[in-house]
Amino acid sequence: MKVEVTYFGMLGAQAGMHKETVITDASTLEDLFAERASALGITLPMTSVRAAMDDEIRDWSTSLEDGAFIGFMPPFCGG
Amino acid sequence: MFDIREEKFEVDDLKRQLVAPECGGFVCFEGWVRDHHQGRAVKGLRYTVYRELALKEGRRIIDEAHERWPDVKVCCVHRVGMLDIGDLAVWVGASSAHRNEAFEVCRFLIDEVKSRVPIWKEEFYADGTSEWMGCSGCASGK
Repeated sequence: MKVEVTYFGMLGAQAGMHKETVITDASTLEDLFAERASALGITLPMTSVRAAMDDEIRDWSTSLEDGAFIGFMPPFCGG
Repeated sequence: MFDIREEKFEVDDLKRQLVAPECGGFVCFEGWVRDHHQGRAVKGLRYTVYRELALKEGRRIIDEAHERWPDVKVCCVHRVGMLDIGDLAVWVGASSAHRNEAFEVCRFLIDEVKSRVPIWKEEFYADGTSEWMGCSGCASGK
């Protein structure tokens, strides 16, 4: 399936890009993050990252949906 | 009201939204860009945001405040983009009949916004380097 992935904050710096379109066999958000972290050299551990799909925070076990917008987010630091 | 702004904003405009005949107390919190962090000279910073999610989550926090303190009026605005030393980064205001509720909800709002709204801060130092904030323990999973 095909998904749009956005890397926020320091993840964008580690990935070397802010957004990409990915064709993937991953079935869950966890699988997708592991795949992209390995491919792009992201070193931030998944335990420090939160995932969103279609503008809502989701559990890592959430199934991917074709055409979804995925966001991977490091710890928040507003204020 | 919760909002994300790319440009500087006037707090008087926000404060006016919280003025009401039934309110006898007003409390606000302003977060400013300071010129140092952990002994390093800071010359500015950049906030980036996941706008769609930030607006949703920020408005949920406002709704939660209204549920917990039904008679309190609240407002929060967060800046994003490049900010200079002294710039206003975040503004939280609360008004109520009495001061206790206004203090409580103001503290609730800034704490929830910091922990739940997807905003990131990159600090730029006088020595020409920069660093993402909030991530010092992440590399080791702490």
